[in-house]
Amino acid sequence: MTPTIIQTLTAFVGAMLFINIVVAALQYWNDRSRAQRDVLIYWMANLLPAITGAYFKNANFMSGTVGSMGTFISQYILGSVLADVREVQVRRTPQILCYLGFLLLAFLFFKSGSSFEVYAFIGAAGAASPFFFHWIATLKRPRRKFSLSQKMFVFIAICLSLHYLDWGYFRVRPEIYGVGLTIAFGIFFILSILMPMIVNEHSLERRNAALGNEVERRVNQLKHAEWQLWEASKLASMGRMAGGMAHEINTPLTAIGLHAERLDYDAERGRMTPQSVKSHVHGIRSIIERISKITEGLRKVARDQASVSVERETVNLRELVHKAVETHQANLDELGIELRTEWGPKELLAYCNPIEISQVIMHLLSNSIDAIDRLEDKWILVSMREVGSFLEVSVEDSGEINSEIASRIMEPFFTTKPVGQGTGLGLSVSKSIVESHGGKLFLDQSSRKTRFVFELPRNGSKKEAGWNLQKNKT
Amino acid sequence: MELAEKQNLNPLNPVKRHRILIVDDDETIRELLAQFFELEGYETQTASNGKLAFEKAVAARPDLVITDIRMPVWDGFEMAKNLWTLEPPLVPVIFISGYAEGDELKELRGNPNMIAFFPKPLSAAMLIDKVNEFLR
Repeated sequence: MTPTIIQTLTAFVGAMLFINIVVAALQYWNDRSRAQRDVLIYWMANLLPAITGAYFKNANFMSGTVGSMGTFISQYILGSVLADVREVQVRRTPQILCYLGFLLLAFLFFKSGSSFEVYAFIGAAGAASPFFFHWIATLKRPRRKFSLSQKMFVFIAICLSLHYLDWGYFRVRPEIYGVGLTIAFGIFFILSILMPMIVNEHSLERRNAALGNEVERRVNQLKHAEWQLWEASKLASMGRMAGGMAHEINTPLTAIGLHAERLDYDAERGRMTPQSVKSHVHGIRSIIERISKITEGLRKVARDQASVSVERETVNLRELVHKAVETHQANLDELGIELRTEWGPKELLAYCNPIEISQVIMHLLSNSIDAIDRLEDKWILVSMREVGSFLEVSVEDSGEINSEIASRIMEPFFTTKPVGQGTGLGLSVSKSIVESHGGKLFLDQSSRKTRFVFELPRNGSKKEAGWNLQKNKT
Repeated sequence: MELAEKQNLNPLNPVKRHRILIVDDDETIRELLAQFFELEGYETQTASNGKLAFEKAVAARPDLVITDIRMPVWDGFEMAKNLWTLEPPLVPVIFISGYAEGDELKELRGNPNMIAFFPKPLSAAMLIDKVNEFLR
């Protein structure tokens, strides 16, 4: 090969290096990441052997050493790009020492009169070694498989590293030096395509993983917030219940107090008669009975709370609804609300958590009561029927909901009550309870009046995965 | 000597009997309070909820209303608001309650027609003293 061809090829290699440097610089300007910076340094480092190759006409130890420094740096970077993908790190110092050791060895060979090929080989091996160090480190830690482009990159990088080793052989044979240069050119060309691919792929992977983690974190945050809200709403309703209880107890206490004051008053004025004493004492006793019914109710609530679990069992829905209605009976009577129930003769057994479903029914009932309390025509109709493998329970009242409110009624925090009365959480919580049973809770939009419907799987159908085994109530 | 006895002693000079309307949804409290005030020489009327109380007040204007707050149909506050739309002189009201509704009570604090607030359980003696103090 003529010198001109060699010069031309050298010029090509140089031009390609130059283009790669410019492109890498632009990319680094855009994306100031470490990976882009490394790619830039890689191409710049390759300039050194290219320049020394062009500058030094004769191959000698000096030129070889200077060029090898650039090669060492570029090989180090090539290896670390690979190691980054596999997320391993290799210590720098041993590699530098290894390189210097090889150089020293080459120097000794040079001094002892070895041919250029021999000490060039030793020096090249030292310069190329960093890539092999990194590569071996990644082999030790197989975590994910390489993608196709990553596999190609490894292959080309190995080819390049091995090609450095034959540099000494080509350098002193000008007739085939061009071949060596062409091979180098070809490899660099492929590398200039592969390297950005690898870098981008990896940064995309990293970003996806980070996003995935962020999403998971946010989801957990939301779940936690939801749970906190649920707890707060329970506390709020407990607070309301406590307030109601206080009133329920204060009223009979006042009555007892008045009886006692009367007895005192009569005694002071000498107006006591056995009959009057008996009547006041009787009054006190019957009031005490009233209060003990309240405390019994409270004890039951405490018991129920203690036994709250996710346990589900076969429950007779009719009993459940009866109990719920009973609890509201006094209120219903007072407000003059007529309550009708409608269900067929069949036993209506559902598989559910009775306490939670009670809560749902009670909530629907109290919503209805609040809604129709001021209307002329007040009634509530509770009906149940079988629909396929579900039991459908509906609570309908004489009130009407306009369509705008109807579309939003299941929203958490939506309430038409004034501030301070009702959190607006009840329906959405009830909805979650029913849904966790594998059912649905919805407003029947086809009914003229306000009609809420929920479905529960019937006893015997296990729609939801992961339910406990049925326990029979004996 | 009690007012009632004074009245019996001197029929030619009847002391005007003040009329008190007692409103509470609990029957025992209504009756016992009414008895207490009758013994004190007041004329009493009772009602079991705010709306009935208002109707009775319209029919025969009381000199004072003693009312519970939490009641069905109309609660104590609603009854009072309606009562105070009638022509003057406005009927003074004493509230008694086992469950203080903070906001609404605060609204009424400056109102001269609200004479007092007694939480339950209450002492008849204190209530009677206040009424005596106000009306006599």
